[in-house]
Amino acid sequence: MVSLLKRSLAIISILVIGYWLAQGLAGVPFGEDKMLVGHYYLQHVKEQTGAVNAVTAVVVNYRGLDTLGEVTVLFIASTGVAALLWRKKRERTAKVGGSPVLTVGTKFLVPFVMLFGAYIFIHGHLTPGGGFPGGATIATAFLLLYMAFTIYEIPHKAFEKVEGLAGMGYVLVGLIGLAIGGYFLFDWIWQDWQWGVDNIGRLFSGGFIPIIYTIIGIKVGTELSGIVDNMLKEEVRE
Amino acid sequence: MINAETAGIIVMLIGLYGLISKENPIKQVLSINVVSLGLILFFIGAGYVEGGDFPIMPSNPVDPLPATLMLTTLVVDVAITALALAMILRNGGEWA
Repeated sequence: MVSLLKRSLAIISILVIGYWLAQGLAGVPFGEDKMLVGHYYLQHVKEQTGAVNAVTAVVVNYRGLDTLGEVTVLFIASTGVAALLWRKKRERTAKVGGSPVLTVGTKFLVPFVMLFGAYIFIHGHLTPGGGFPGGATIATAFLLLYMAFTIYEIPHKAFEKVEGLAGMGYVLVGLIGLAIGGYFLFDWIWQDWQWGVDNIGRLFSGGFIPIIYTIIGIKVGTELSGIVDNMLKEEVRE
Repeated sequence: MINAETAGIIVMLIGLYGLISKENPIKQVLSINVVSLGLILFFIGAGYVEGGDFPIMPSNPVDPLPATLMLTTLVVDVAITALALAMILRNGGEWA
């Protein structure tokens, strides 16, 4: 009886919230015509950034500072997971290994999964994708290893160092832009050196977008692997 | 036929209903994910123009801005989910 009352109350409040949402969001002027900002980006994306993929250009080039913040959010989340699950001594406690299908398949697939992740983030300025999905793909390779082998652990020291270096690399790229062009995350490779002007639409173009996306891919991959590692290990009492 | 915006709002409301009515913490985390998926569907649908192509340049592209914003949402969503699951793991069976 109580649950029925609660459920009907929930449904009524959902309906009210839904009505408000529909009323409010009906006024959002996406869609009908391109918004001013989106139109500007589409008009100038090629000559200003050298990238073909407009979404990537907006994410890394026009709104690079936001993406730095996004990477920071992910870093804080992974640090928070590590802090929440911290124990003095933790080990993997899984007793049953993967089935033969899983282990053999993992041995075959892991290099290719990593290669595909690297492909996604290196070609971020040409094809859909970029550093975040590429890094997540690389993390799935480590997840496969964790599922297949009971004793596997990522090399923690190396991963922490690589993650820190990647984060510093992003800021460093931005600071070089500050030194050369006068503002943080200035695309000095494209604007000043004009590298890759002749081959827009091929791999060596897009200014610093491939560099930053490689950095982001490495950082996201190591961070998500770290989260997986933290969640899979359990406390061991001595 | 309903359009993508309406579908997105409906999915969001389903997620909100889950948040209100379920007490299992895992289900609440899933509900948060459903809400953000509905939001993503809403924005991508709102940015779509009839006959538009994906925003990779030699084409007749749609507005790239909603896709960019939703990329951010996906990352934040992963962060929220990881933190929430870690909290649940930390507290063990106490909330379940």
